[in-house]
Amino acid sequence: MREKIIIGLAIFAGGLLAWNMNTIFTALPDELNQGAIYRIIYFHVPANILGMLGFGLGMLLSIGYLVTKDLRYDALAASVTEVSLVFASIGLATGSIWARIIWGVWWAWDVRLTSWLVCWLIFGGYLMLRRAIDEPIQRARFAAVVSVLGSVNAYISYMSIKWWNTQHPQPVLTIRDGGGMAPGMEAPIYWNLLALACFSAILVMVRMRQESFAREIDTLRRMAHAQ
Amino acid sequence: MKSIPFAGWHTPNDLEERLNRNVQYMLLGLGAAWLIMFTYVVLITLRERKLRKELDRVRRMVESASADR
Repeated sequence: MREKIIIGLAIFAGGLLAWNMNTIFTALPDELNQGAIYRIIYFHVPANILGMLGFGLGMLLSIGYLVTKDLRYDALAASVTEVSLVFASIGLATGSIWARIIWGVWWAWDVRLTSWLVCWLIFGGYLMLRRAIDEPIQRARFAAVVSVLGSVNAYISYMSIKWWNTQHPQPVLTIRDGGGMAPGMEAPIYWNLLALACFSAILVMVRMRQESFAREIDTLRRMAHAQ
Repeated sequence: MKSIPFAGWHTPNDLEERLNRNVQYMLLGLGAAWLIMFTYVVLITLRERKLRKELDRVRRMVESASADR
């Protein structure tokens, strides 16, 4: 059943992305001030939204683990966080390339960029911590604490463009009271968000399967040692 | 405070060249996004293969241990 869901989601997401890319490159004009480079927003914004939402979801699952002590929450939190880190990496890389043309620099140490980089480092540390601890319960507990701390930072990063004056642009999407884009230019962001959300769901499902393999290997090893 | 050098000094003056640069960086950005995604997909595929192999190995080990007893 899981395989069929993965294949169905992959076909849907692939088709949606192909159609949307066609719209972005053939139907939409260049932006008046930025030129062609503005199209990076169609990956930069959805990737960062998925990164932030994923870190938040990871935090809720980590709290779920701390409350219930059920290791399935921990496995799901680890899977969601790892996939979210990939999307956060895409957000950072695409933002930096956009900044080189628009700001003239690859990187600026403003609050939004710095807090998001710190967040990325915290969740990178989260994954390294998980690899460093063999004992599953201790690993889950420490990782849950890091996830909660990292997600607080993700929220600060999300709000930073409202709380402080940043070099990073203010919200442009209408769902965040921005309204800085023409409707025809804004809609493909949401379509890409949907397509990338489907891809992230696929990746999380694959990662969950790997977590269950790892648990089974661990259990069998314990059995073998006990014999 | 250390100031950031004005990058405009390094940008080409010719409009056409600047537009080309704009398109090149857009393609670089989209390429980077796909490269990161593709690399991750390759990495989890390799990890899955490794885990399946390991699972088979440990299963065989447990089965042979119980058969010996």
